[in-house]
Amino acid sequence: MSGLARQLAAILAGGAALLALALGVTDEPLLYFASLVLIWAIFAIGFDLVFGLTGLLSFGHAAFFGVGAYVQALLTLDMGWAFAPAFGAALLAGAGLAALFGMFAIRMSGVYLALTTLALAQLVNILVEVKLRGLTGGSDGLIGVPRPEAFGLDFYDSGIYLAFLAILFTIALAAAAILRRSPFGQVLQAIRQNEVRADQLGFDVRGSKIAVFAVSGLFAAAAGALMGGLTSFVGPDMTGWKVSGDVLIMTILGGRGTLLGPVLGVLAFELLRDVASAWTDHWYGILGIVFIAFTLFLPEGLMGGMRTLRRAWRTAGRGRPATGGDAP
Amino acid sequence: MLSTIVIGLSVAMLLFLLASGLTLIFGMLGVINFAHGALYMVGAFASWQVVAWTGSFWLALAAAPLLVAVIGLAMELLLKPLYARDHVFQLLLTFGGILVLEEAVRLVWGLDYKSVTAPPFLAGSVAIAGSEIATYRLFVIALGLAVAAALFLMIERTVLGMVLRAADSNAAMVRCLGIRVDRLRSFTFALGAALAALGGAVAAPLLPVQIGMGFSIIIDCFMVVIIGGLGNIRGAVAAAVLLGMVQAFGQRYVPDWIAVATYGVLILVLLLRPQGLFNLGRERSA
Amino acid sequence: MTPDADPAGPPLDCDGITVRFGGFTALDSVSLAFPRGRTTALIGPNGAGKTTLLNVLSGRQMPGAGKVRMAGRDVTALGAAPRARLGLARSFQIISIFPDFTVFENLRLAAQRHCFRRMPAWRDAAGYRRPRQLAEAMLERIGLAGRGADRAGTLSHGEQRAIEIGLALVGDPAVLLLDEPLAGVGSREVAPFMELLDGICRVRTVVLIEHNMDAVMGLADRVAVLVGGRLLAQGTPAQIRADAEVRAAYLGTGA
Repeated sequence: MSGLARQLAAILAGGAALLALALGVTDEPLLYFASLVLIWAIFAIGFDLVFGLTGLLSFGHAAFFGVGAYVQALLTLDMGWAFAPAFGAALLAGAGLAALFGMFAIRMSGVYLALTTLALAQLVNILVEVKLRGLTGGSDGLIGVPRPEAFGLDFYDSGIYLAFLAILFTIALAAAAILRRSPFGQVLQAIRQNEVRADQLGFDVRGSKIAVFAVSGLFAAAAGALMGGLTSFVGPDMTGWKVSGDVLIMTILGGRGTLLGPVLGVLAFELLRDVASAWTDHWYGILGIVFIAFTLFLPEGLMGGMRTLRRAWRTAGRGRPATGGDAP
Repeated sequence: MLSTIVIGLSVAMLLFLLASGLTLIFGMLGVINFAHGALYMVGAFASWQVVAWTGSFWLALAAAPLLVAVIGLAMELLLKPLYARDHVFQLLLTFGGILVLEEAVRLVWGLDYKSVTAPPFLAGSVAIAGSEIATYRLFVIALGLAVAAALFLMIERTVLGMVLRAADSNAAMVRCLGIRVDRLRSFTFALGAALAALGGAVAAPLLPVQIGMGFSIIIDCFMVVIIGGLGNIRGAVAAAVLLGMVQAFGQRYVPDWIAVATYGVLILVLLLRPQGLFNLGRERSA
Repeated sequence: MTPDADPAGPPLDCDGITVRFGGFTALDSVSLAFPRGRTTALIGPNGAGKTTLLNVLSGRQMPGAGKVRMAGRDVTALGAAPRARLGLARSFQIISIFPDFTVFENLRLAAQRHCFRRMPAWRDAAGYRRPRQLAEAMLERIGLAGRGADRAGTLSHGEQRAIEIGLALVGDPAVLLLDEPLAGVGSREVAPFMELLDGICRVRTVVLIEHNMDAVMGLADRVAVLVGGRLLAQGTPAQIRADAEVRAAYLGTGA
């Protein structure tokens, strides 16, 4: 079995396990926690395509997340659309906005790109919270965001909604796995390693950057729309810089540039939040400390740490130094 | 009209205090300190605290920068291992710094607004050319100009400044000359942080002292630094004046659009400036 | 200028190229034609503008004045990527490869651009046969057949140089620009490299910058001499070697 086939098999197996969990467990807080994790995981997987795979630092992904949430909410609440077409529209909105942001990525990199995407997202935030408050409800947001109605299933049952999320998450993870291994994914990684050479070889670096932003925006918008459904609420904070920062932290914690890193990172982040906030009000500061510790000592995140452990284990087992060249 | 100009200039000087610290840190270390706004916030809270304890505004003005300089030293210590690595990690670390500092402030001072009143000597207003001008704002302008002059003198005229400038362009060479570049870096970061805190202490009587204050001013600060040129003190003064005026006149005539305009201008500047001039991949021989 | 049998024009030529960086003139009205199937060496002292000219030819640098043409078609306004798609490839003086990829992945990446018009995003790259075959063939050709699975960043300088050339070659370019391909190659490795280069130079249009005069004389059909941004002379290697002006400016009278 090829590497990709093995990955996809594992992903499907994981998805099946999640489904079983969703339909078997009845503990509400656990179901809610799992739902939160899956939604953020979809967001982070998409974000990492831009950040980890292509090496572009975006501080503005909250814009796509929030826009996805608002489009979904407005179309279903105000315009009476069914969930599915609204969801499709939300995805398109997120992808479109992200493509726009991506055009800035062509002209700048590093800190400048980070600042620009931050400023762009802040613009969106102001639009949502202030300028368009008639439409969006301003600081109050929109309440009563509906969940899907289909197949006679009660999506308001937490288990059913989680099952729904599990399916979407599995699709998202599989799509990311395929994309990363595809020729297009190779080009993105090439851009991260050596943009000048990629350009010299004849690759369309600009188009690739815009495309990956668009895909990433699609994932983010999906997550936003699903979040709206989960909490039945969307608010301007969903487009705020803390959301952009959170997804970045999650990705770094888990291990950027890897398939499962973002997922692990989300899990670690939410676990930390749960544990720490039970213990103290200031869990966000603790997160900051953990984050700083990771950037200092474990820059490749949990995935990187596991890889190091695995290598050390293998070395100890063989009794001689391992050669380099482990495929990530 | 005159009062709007004075407001503009005082905002400019406030921005300059902040931006000068940021641009120094960038010029010397190649780091955009995302936590700069948080340092400013800590400076403001610290000055409130000193005033609450001692009643002396002047003491606060001296103590807050000192305290925050220490925090700056601590941050730089954490940054040291990251210089050799991808710049992203420096950004990320300073971003983590924001979280920690904000939470620390929340821990110590809670969520309320604090307010600081200017000392009686500086409170009130003066009548100039028929307008009532707040005395405090004149003080801010004077202080800002004094700091600008002092910084300029230090950098251009003293041996320390010369070494700073040299290390800015070629750290390895400076190290070969026997100068402790790492000490220089610590000093620069501490100075930058102190300037941010001074800005906070000075701003306290003018603006509400609250947790989000760092973020709202940091965008303006980034703009000043980018327009003025990263590492360029003189540019920072010019850009700060420009921005201060835009803010003051904007506030007076089109207050609804200031935020949008601010972000819009930042984006435009980032787009139009040729990337080569501001690329983070500037020669960093360290 | 060599009269050319090509009705469309030589595979690559430039006309009146001028490049200024602030007050400094890097290239001053340089005009050169590169005949099909011939290897032209660019020589000259450091700072003469050779790499700048190569940057202009490859699309990395916009000239202040002048034109660049490929087979008669004006490509001056095109960037590096479009020119690459027209069949131009270039290697870099300072090694510029993809260090995190394996050697094989490096070559396969370059092959992919040659095999697909639009990069597919829905299948494993390993599943496509042609890029794999091209990459494996190139691995053989550059003498790294056993190192395919190693991360490119871990290889020695000489081996990375081979990848550098391999990346440029794998697309079977019509025009190849080589910027000091032997730079930093240890004296032991020069011979196999020369063989590789010799094979390359025989069958396509090549522009070569090199300081190694033996290589130049052995590989080049024509030599162009750049000094201070200007074209000083051009001719066969023998003619250039005998040219008094060139000797004074660059070669030295000991040659």
